[in-house]
Order: sequence, then C-alpha cells, then structure tokens
Amino acid sequence: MEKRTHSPQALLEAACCLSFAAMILYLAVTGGYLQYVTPKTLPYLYFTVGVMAIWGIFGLLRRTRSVQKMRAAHCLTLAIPILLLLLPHSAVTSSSLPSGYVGATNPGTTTQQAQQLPSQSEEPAYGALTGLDEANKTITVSDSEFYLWISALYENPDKYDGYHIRMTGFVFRDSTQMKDNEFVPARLMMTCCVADLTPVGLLCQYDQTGELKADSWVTAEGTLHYEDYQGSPEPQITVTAITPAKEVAGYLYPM
Amino acid sequence: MAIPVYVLTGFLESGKTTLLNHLFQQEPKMRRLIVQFESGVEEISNKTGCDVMIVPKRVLEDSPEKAAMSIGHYVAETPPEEIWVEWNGVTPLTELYALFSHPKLSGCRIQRMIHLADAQTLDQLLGRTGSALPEQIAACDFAVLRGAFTDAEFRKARRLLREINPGVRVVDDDSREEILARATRRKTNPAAVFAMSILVFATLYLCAEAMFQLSQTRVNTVINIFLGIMLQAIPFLLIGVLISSAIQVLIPQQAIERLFPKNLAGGMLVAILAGFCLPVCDCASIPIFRSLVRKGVPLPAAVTFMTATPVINPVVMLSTYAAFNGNLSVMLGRVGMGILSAVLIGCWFALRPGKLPALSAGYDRIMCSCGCYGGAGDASTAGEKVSLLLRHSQAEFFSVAKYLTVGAFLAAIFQVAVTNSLLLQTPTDFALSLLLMMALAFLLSLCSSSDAVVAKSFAARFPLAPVMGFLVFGPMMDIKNVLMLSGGFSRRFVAKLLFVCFAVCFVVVYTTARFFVGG
Repeated sequence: MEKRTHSPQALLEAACCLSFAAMILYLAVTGGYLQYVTPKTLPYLYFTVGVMAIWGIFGLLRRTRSVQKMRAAHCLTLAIPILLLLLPHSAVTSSSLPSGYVGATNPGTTTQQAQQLPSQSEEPAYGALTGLDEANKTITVSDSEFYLWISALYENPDKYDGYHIRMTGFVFRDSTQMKDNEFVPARLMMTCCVADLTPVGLLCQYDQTGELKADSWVTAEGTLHYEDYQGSPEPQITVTAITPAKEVAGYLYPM
Repeated sequence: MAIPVYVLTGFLESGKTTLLNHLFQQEPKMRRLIVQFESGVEEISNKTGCDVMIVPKRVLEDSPEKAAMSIGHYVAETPPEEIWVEWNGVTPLTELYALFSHPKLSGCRIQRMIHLADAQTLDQLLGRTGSALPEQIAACDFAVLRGAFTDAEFRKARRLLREINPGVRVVDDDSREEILARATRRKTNPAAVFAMSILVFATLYLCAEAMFQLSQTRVNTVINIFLGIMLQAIPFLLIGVLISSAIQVLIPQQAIERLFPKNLAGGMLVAILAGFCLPVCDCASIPIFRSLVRKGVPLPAAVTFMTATPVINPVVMLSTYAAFNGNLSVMLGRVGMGILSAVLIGCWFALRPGKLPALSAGYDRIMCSCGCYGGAGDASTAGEKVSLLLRHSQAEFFSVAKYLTVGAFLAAIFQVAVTNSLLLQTPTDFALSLLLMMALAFLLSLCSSSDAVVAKSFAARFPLAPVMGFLVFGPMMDIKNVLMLSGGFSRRFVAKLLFVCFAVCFVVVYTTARFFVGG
C-alpha cells in the first residue's frame, strides 16, 4: 500500500535543471556564451546541458515517497545564474574594467601574451590572413584577424619590418608603463573567462597621444618597426594618422 | 478543515512520552488524540487530558491496513482537534506516510515532524542503528534535544543533527512554549518563498537598472565576472560530482580498504599519480576528496590528492606552458613545488592527525544529503545503481554548488573592488610580495586551468618567485574551495587545512627561491 508520489522538492530541482540546460543550450547555440567564456568551453557547455537534462528528466520520472520537509534554497544555485543571464546586462568593455587590473598590460605583457600561440600549429592560418598587400607593403588588419595578425607580426620580424599598417582598437594608456607619447590601440582578450580579460595590442608612438581620449575607439595607421624588448624583437607602430572608429564588439580568444 | 497531525520521532527510550506529558500537562485542555505504536516505560499521564490510542507495533508492521482502519474509525467517531503521533526511531518513515495517505485517514494531514534526540546517546546511535534514524532527523521540521547538561554537549549534538539536516532549529526540551509554538505555527511553503524571492530579486534588479543604469556601473562587471566563473566552473564541478558519486556508489568500501596502500609513502604516491591522471581543476577535486575520506582513504593521502590534483594535472600543465610562452622552467617549477607542497601538507596531517575526525563519526556509510540513507549496499541491480548514481550526484551537486555560487560572487566582487587598491604599490620586499601574491590567489579564486594567464600578467610587476606562490597556492585553496569544503567538514578542520596549505606553500616557494634559484 506504499504510495509513491512526486515530491515537490524533486520537481523544483528538476525544473531548475531543465531550465538551466535550456539556458545553456541557448547560449551555446546562439554564441551568447562568448560574452562570458571562450570557444574552448563549448564542448563542456554541451556536456553540462546533457547532464542537467538527464538529471531533470530523471527527476520528473522519479516518484518518491513524499518527504515531509521540503527544501528550496539550494535551487537558487541554478536559479540565480539563470536569472542573471536573463536580466539585462551588457558585455564588459575596457572602460568598465577596473583600471590597472592585473598590471593590465604594459606592452611587455601584451607582447608576451601575444606570443603564446604555438607557431607551428598556426602556420597555415597565417597563409590565409587577409589584408596583406605585398606590392605596396601595406597591411590592413581586419577586426576578425586582430589576434592572428599580432601573432604573425611577432613571429616574422624580418618579413614585415617597414610595412604600413592599419588596425582598430580602443585607446589604452598606462602611465606607469608607457612614455607620454605612447599608447596601445587594444582589444580585450579572454583566455578563459571574463574574469581574465586583458587588453592586447601593439605599442604605438604618436606625438598627439595626449589628445586621445582613453577607451575611445580609433583606427591607427602608421609604419611598423621593431624594437628590442627583453631580448626579443617587439613590433611597434610609428603612427601617422588616427581616425575615430566604431566600437568593435566581441573579444579576442587565443586558441 | 483537515485535522493537523504532529509527529514526534525519536529513538526508543529517548523520552517521547515524557516530553508529551511535559508539553500538555499545563496546556488548556483540548481534544487531543495521542497515537502510540509501542508502550514504553512511561505512560501518558491522565493530567494531560488527552485521549490515548495504542496501536501495537505488530499490527502496524503486519497489517498496516488494519492500523489505518482503527485510527480512522476512532477519528470518525470522536474527531479530535489535533493528533500527536509517537513514532519510534527504528520504523522507516515510509510506513508513516503510507499510513496517513490511507483513504480512511484522508481527513488528517501531517503538519509537523519533530525529532527528539538524547544528547548523551545520539552519537553512538547514529553509527549503529541503520537508516531510519538519520532519515527521521533529515525529515524533521525542528529537533528537541534533551540530556544536554552543558553548552558544549548541546553544541556537539546540534552539530550532529545539522550535519544530517542542515540548519535545522534545535530546541532544548525545557522550553515548552517554544516547542508548542513552533509545532503549531503556520507553515510557509518553501516553493512559494522561492518563487517570491526570485520575483522580488528580478523586480529590484529591473528597478535599479532603470534608475541607475546598472549596466554602466561596476555592478555590471561583477555580474559578468560572476557568470564567467560559474559557466567556467560548473562543467568541471559536474565532472567532479559524477566521479565522486561513482566512487561512492560503485566502489565498495572493502575494495578501497583492501587495495589502497596502507603505508604513508605508498598512499601518497597513489594520490599523486591519481592527481596526475585526472584532468580536473579545483572545483572537481573537492567533491572527490570528500568521497575519498568517506570511503575510508587515509586523510594524509586524501589531502595530498586534493592539493596536488589541481596543480599537476595535464590541462593545467599545458595552460601554464602556453601562458608563459613555452617557458618550461615555470611549468616544471609549478608542478615540482605543487607536488612537494602537497606531500608536505599530507605529511603534516600524518604527523598531527588531530583528535577531531574530519567527517563526523560513525556516519560514513550513510549517504548524506540525497535521502538514500541505506547506502550503496542497497542498490544491487545495474538499474538501481544508475538511479542511485544520478540521485546522489545531483544531491551532491546542489550541496557543493551553493558554496561555489557564493564563492564566485565574492571572487567577482574582489576582482572588481579590491585588486586595484592591493596593487597600487608594488612591494619591494620579497616575503611581502609573496604573501601578497598568495593572498591575491586566494581572493581571486580563479580556475586552476586559467590562472596561469593572470599570473603571467602579474609577472610584469612582480619578480617571478612571488608569482610562483600564486601559481602553487591558488589552485589548492581559495574562497570558493574553502566554502565548498566547509559544506562537508567542520570549520576547525577547514581552518587548519587552510593554514597548513598556506604555511607549507609559503615555505616551499620561499626556500626554493632563496636557496636554489638564488633570488
């Protein structure tokens, strides 16, 4: 005569798991997850969707003896992320980053981070880089190839020295690390999740740097040259022209 | 209007009848029915003015139908205003629920479950008496404690109760009014509270957004970082709870006891090898650590496993290698110091076992929070095992993830608010900057597979040696780890573990830098 029913707690848990699975699936399919984590996370997100869906379905099917005491607070652990994901909020931009966070990139940091790409695996990608005009010795860095170009420039100092280059980024200045006439047209790079956003870009020399508004988006144009930085050549730009640019959405993700 | 049923549970001889006598002797008389399923030494006193009905335990067990019929009959003839049930500590609650879901008793609803525990015997009883008692403790709305003569005894018993029923209110058996008030107070529906709190939160958020343009402020950054950490950590936490539940459910305790090396060195070697083979970060290693300790793996080896895994696993090694542009010495230094620290931390726990058992005594066979109090032995077929695995992993996920949520939130706030001021001046003193780096590693709570990149950006302002402190200590301990650990262990143990980890990492990194590298 044992009567088995759905316990309300199990139903609530199942509902939370299923909505979480749906939310993550939505983020994964639409690419919305890229605001928080890198493309590397995608398989893990699908794994999460799978586990959550199994838990949810299992919870719906399972009939338990009713448990007198119902708990709900622990479900907040899934409800809060779902809620925050649904409620309006915008992506982190350079201006909302706590300035100077993690030594936020003096040129030395950016340079070495840019190099972390293992060269051999990316070799084919460089071949496919667009915007290279060897006849006129110019490089126009498109927004989608920002990171790849920086890596390529670091790895081929001889090839690109003296080229005319254009690239778009936000004005990043760190007075503790840069001279008065220096700035970086930078983009934010996410290595793992939004907690480790760091500006990445090439150091520019520009006499009117003082007139540039920090965090405003600009297209910098100039001549590429290499300086020695801690024993290895670092590409830098002697800027000839600055034009205001439209904000580029999205982050950089090193592979 | 249903007749409220109040159930008083408690082990044999725990004093249920005495408590009822005490409760009702001076109460205004009302038509109360007390149902007993056994007659103990004590009897319900006449002074209480209650009707007493004794259903022999034999009847309940052999023909529950008959028990329900006779109670139903009684209630139909002379309807009481409330019913109190004495339920003893060896009969599963399933029978109680079955009894009151009988059609004959449809007019009665179980309103409250009160558990009566004896502070003097609780500890021993829990270890010996099977699954009914913990089930009753887990199900009770509040507990009444008797036989606690000192504050220390009261706190100890309360801790035991709360391990099974987290946050349960424990009342002393003298406070008659409070017991009665709590029993008869109107019940709030947790689901309604849950829905309300979500609605209130969403409304407040939207109002704040409309009024202060929340998305233009630091709050927006905090939310983004929080979600980033959560999305990053949840998949690994899932891997962790699945592995740990598999250990709990599929591997019999005897196997671990037989196979796990008995001596210290062997145990640690196994721990480190296992740490190397499992590509999990710190979110996953903590649930595994908990289940290893539950399964009887010696504490030094388990601690070594927990502290070594997040530092030395292949994913972390690769990400460190990549972040420091192929600098092999940083990676090897991290792994080497990680292993050394983990072994030393393990040795500390071997040398000073401490008198407090990490997980509460005598209760390790019983599955914790998932309601499967019978333990893994109950599931025999493959289907049952899978079902138990799913239930257990889900329960474990919820029990650990709430600490992750709090930890991720704190870490997000720290990242936005505190790092700035901490980093304003770069200290020149080596020991000081090492301390600062380790403190930062603790506060930032980065996932161990990604912290190398952040460490790299610190390397621009700090010498390499303090940054190594960040790399070695960060994965072992941080805000979210401490919170997750405190879900399963006593506060004292967690504090000790934190202190030992910090001290050992500091000494290891400091000496390595001073004497071998010559920093």
